[in-house]
Amino acid sequence: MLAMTYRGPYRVRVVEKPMPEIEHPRDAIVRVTRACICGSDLHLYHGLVPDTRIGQTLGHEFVGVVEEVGANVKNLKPGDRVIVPFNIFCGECYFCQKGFFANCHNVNPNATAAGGVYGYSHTTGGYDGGQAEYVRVPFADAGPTRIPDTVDDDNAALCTDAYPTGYQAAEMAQIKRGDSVVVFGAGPVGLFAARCAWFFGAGRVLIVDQYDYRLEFARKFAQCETLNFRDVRDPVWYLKKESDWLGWDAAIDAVGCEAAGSAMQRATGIRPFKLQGGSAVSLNWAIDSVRKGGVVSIIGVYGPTLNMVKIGDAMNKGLTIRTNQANIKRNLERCLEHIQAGHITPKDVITHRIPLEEIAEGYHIFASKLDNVIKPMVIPPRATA
Amino acid sequence: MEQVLGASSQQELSQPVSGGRGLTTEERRRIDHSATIPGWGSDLARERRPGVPRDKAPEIGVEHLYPSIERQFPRIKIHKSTEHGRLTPVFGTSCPPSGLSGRLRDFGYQFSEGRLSRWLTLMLADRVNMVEDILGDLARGRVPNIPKEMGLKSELKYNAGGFAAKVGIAVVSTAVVVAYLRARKAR
Repeated sequence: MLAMTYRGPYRVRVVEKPMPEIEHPRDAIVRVTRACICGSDLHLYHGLVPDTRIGQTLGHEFVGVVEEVGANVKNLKPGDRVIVPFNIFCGECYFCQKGFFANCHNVNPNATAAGGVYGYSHTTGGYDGGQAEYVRVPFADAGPTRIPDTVDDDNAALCTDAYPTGYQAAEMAQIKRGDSVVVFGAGPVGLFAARCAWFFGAGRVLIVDQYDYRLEFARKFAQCETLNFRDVRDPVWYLKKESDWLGWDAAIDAVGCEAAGSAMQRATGIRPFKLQGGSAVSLNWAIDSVRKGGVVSIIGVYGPTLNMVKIGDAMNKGLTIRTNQANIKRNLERCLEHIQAGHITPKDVITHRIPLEEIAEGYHIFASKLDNVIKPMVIPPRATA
Repeated sequence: MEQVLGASSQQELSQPVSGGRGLTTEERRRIDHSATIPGWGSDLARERRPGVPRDKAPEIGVEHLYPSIERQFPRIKIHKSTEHGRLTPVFGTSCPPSGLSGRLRDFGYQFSEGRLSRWLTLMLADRVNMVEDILGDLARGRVPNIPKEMGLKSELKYNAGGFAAKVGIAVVSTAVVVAYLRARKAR
């Protein structure tokens, strides 16, 4: 089968790989019909995630058709169209029973600091991902959800990560009616977080980024205010002023480890040195721009080492900091209801459709923010087989 | 310290926008955007929020950490974190460790996840792995098509000027270094 493989920072190659096999009675094999490149795939692409091995197939956002199921998978059958959440989880352990599917203890032997994720280095379990024609889906009786007939593959693909992740970012912000919410990052997750903040009754939403084209998109898609932080000398000062000096009720960090805005953070967290788990600029801005007693929701991804974070300010301001990888399965039912009610059309963020064979171009376009890209989708050759 | 906004933000923030800019907190608490923003307030009630309560089953304990799940047979070497009580019942089987990078990974996994040495060793192994891959390609008589793997066709298509500038800077920088070295050698 055809699959993309990681070859080192900034390099991916499409190769012929052996078909995945059932390796456990609760596995399934899924034929991928749509996959996406996620902003967090770029952290791998840029070589920022430890134990990213040459030859691994990346991709944790995909939907497809069940081809084969293991002996113990009773709730799926070949031919079912399924959303495959990016989290791999058993559904039974201490954490899964609490609904923390992103923190399952039974799927990642390599680390306890992270759960299991498709195609996201050995730091999240060493699984091959979905930027391929076929993929092994462990615990297929727990993770995948049948796609409702009213939801097409494009919308469903966004339900594997970006949309429910943005939704959870907004939910973790503990928004009360009329709250002011500032979202850092106008990538897909930030856009969904800003859009979903309204679902929770926000009174004001502002999104911050450095790319004008993304902010223009955000104004339409998320119906929110925008700020290009390159337009001001001090974004935190400006955000305080915008909130009449109170500070925002909630701040969402939807950027994570590749944040721009500080040469020192980028030099020590991205390149040339990788001593930090990335650049924590947007997280620090979130801490500083939120009001005392406010909430900081961290959905942006950081590496497992350490970061220069203004934890002193967070403590002195009495902030609530809420974090996690999104528990996709927990959010999915409600997210699908919003699609079916016409509140949101996730596929509106897709700007590029790229054949799997050309995926290297997709990575480069996305990483370099070319051609006004928001979200690239990957179409495997057997998508319509 | 007054600040002056630049291009896009100045234009946008001077316009009235939906969402309560310029309203007091009290006014925002009363505002209802449902007529203009689809779905506004539909998850305001806590019972509509999937993450409430945060812990679905707070009473469960350590006996549920490793439930009895049929175990996948490890046909390849699987690294296990020292912070795990046992090998997880299911794991990925992509890219088993090999060569020098594999040895480095063996070494890195001896440290707990709290140690910087673990993560930096694994990142070093990643870079070694990349060199091993290129050498492996060359040994098989295959020269990696690096421009294709880096997707540079799209750079030429969408950012030809920027691409030319980058190439120009690289050429000039190399020329300056070469000239400096030659001059130094001549002395």
